[in-house]
Amino acid sequence: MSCCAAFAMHTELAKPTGLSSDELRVASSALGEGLYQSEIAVPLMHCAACMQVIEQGLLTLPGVVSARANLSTRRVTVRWAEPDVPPLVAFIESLGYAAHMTEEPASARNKTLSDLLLAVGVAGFATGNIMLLSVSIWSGAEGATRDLFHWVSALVAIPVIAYSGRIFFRSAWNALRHGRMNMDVPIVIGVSLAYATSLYETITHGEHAYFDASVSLLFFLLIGRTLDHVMRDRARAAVSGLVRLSPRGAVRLRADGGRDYIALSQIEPGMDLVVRPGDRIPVNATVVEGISELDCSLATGESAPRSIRAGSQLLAGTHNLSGALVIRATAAAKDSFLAEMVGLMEAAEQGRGIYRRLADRASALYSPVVHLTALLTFIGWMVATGDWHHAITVATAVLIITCPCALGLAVPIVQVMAARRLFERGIMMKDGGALERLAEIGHVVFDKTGTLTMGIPELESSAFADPQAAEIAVALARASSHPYSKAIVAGMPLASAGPRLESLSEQPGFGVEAVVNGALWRLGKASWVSPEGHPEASGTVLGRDGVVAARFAFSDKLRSGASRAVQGLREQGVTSEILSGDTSASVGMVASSLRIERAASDLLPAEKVRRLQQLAGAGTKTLMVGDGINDAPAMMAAHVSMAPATAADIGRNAADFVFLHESLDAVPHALDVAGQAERLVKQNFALAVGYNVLAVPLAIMGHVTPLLAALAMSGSSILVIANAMRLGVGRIGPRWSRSSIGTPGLLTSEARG
Amino acid sequence: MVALLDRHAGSSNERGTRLMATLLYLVPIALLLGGLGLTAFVWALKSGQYEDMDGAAERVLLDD
Repeated sequence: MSCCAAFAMHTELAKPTGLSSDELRVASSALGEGLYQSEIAVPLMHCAACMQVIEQGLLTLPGVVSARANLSTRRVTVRWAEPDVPPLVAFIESLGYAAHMTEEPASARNKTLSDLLLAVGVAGFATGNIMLLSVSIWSGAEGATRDLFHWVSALVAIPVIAYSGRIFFRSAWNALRHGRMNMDVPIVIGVSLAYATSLYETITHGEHAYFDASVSLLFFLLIGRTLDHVMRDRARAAVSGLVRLSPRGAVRLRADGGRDYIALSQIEPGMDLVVRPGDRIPVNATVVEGISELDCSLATGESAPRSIRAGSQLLAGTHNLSGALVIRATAAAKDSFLAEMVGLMEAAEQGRGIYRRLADRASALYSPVVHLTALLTFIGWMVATGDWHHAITVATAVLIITCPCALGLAVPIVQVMAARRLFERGIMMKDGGALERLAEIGHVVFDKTGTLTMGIPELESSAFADPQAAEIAVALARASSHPYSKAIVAGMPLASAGPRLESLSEQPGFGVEAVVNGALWRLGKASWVSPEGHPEASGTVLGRDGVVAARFAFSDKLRSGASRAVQGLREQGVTSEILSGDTSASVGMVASSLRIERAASDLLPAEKVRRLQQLAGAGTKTLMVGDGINDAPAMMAAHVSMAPATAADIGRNAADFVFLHESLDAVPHALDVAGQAERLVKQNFALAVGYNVLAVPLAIMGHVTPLLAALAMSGSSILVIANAMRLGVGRIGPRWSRSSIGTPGLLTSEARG
Repeated sequence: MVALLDRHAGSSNERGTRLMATLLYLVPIALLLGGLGLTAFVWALKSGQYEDMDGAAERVLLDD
């Protein structure tokens, strides 16, 4: 596809998922009569040609009934019929697009959006018609004509109040029932009072009716709400489209020797399960048979792989690297390590105070003032003139003028803009409250493995005794999928095809061996490569007939932009700290290279939570950036949290922000946007209040006509929206923009043939 | 326009009645047309035309 300048993905995300047909069936939803529907996320699909290739390609597979690509959600919906289980994911990957199964059905998400759109449509229709009628009234329609227009307006406004307005009525009712105030309470009171008095005016052949004001108010606010929903939905879709890292089930080894695939929830303690190299451990278990190495980085934060053999204890969520294992479950999925963390998370969440959003705090101050002013105006006019009809009309005008149209838009519209700016940089915001909390922080706590570092070993140094050894090392490393082997291949780029390897084999848990020109070469653990060698031999070596020929040292590679991010935070006056589950040696190394003074190692998940609670107790608002299963509880305890796209599923769900790019620049950048958004929100509040200070005295004096009210209301809303649009336009520090665009990450483009 | 007519109509009872008669079918027609627009929007929404806006923009380029 010549048109496709496809995007190179982050290594972890682009890795083939190797989904078995059993797993595909478990992840698909049954439609009945042997028909199944699967949702497959294809994050790299981005143009018409991509959609066509994928859709038409899928239709050639046996069993596929229909395939429809959705570019907005970057998903393909495929319907297929039994008995065939088409290799959907593998096929899309063979076309050159990374793909993985998702479970959340798209229909549930679209329901809310279409409800909102419908509400906007109804409100828009009514606003247009009522405005037309109002213009004739303002231009001087009188007597029976005016009454007719008022009656038509009253009729047209009913569906808006009843249908479109119910979103606000429900939210206001919920707030009041729990004894709280939110922005929707004054909106609802204003709209209903305006409608009621206008109806009264219409019946009594009055002059001033505010149908247009009450309807256009709902219309404007609904537009803001729909935009907000679209933004958050996009973020949610992007996050849920990431690779699922916890398994959906496991292959059970029955007592009679047969094998079958069962879903995660059906695993019971005592069952024997088969775990292939590359799989994640589904539940807490002990090893029955097999030797392998275990990558615990996502579960506990340890960066070095751990050797395991029969009898070893395994935590759910760890990653089996080199050998096939038979394990015996010691706990069901609901009692495993992951579930323990969920328990800790719930406890941590309860410990954290409920955050009240800025708009709600503002309306708690604002609503009583507004309602009191309207009431006093009514009483004042009653005392002065004794004409209760006139008093009510003026009081209604006060309510409409002060109705927080601008105030209701002031916060959401800024947050929508901020979410857009963040989205452009690959940062997903889960909700607007998180942005407000982010603007308050003064301290950042980082996890080490997978957050400050990539969690992937990198070849640090190699020493060769034999010139031929380098070529052989790379050739042997190519044959294995162990992280150290991959690091050797990546660290020593050799153009040649390498020597001819004979009787190549991989010994799980030890290394790779092969015969080259009659000599036995081994790459792997020092104790295995040269068994009778020096006792001090440790680490990873290459040996020829038991004699060490080369040594390799690995380090956990720092995430790109890590030191720049920490430096940038320091310049913004934000302090940093490391909390890690890894050994003190490797934590110390990272801390010193990033010049972070406070670093704690060997921490259990509960200890991380305790540290964050201690910080919160001291009044420090903290941002937690982490990726592991063990970080999830601490992320809940933090004031606000952030996770990379490569984080464990549970961490990604717990985080308020998820960044898709590799670079850690996302942290200061998000802080920067949050700070700007906070300033703009405050400006918008000032604008809205300033407008009220001007207009309210006029309203109290009784000089506000429906025409003036309509002008003032739309004027202030447009002002607030225009101010919000300034967010990020040429103001985001060029330092961050340049640095993060130049960094190879998720969205680095790469031309494809 | 209507308002101008209205002002002139105010002078004569007969013209006022004629104007009201005009409005009696003009207003329903205006509402009907607006309602038609709304119905078209609801139909488009229900038939899933707003579910993939980016995709719809790109599919124009396909030949099939």
